[in-house]
Amino acid sequence: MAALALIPDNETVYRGMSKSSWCRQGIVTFEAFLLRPATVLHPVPEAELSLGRSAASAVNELNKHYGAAALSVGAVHALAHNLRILPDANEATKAEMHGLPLFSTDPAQRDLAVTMATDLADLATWVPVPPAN
Amino acid sequence: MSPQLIEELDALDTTTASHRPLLWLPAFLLVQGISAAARTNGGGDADEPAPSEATIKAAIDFITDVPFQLLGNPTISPFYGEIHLSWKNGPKQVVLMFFPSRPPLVHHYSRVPNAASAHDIQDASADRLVDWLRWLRA
Repeated sequence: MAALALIPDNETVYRGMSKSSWCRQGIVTFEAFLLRPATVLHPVPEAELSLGRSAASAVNELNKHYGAAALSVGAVHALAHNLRILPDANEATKAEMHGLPLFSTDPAQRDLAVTMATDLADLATWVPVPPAN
Repeated sequence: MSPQLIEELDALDTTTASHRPLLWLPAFLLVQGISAAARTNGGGDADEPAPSEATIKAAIDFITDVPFQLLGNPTISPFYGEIHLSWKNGPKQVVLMFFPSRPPLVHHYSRVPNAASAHDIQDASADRLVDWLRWLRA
């Protein structure tokens, strides 16, 4: 299968805000961009960050959401972290961010994860997402 | 303002909870905030474990050794069994992280225009947190 091409820099992608703690007074927090560990329901740790190619598609699989965080693809690709935003191979309305550190409590890995997540949070703009009809 | 009140207010900058017989109201609210936020398991997601009582106690014990005035009003976030306290001031951020399975860490970050951000992580102690919170507000 051919490798997927990066999403163009002039596009915007959206992180669905599934937790209230990911946004404080309209400011997106770094926790929105940390990969989760393995859990009971998801025994494999998250390896890519799930995104939508619209604000609505970013939240359409969430039971409850708190809006979305808009990110300029070009700004993410310009960070010094070699992050890549690719289309989701199985869902045209979705995208994935590749290159974030996997969940770890090792200090060096956690340093990188929080730093990259904070860089992303600083780029992000919170947008409200109206309920679907 | 009475001389006694001025003296008490001055003392708040250097007095920690463990040296006071009664918790000052903001410190009490912070302790309450940690307990409450930690029990919300990340906004009610059933798949996200809430922090254990031991992690909550470790966080509360830790902050009672830090001067109240420096603690201010951090953002308190549970994260898959962890408790994060974070402070932001313009381009600077300090994050104190409590874990279920290892000693706490303190992360400091400073955004640098047109360059990579400056950052590091250390094992957390009350003295280190004091230093980084002073740096944050400098």
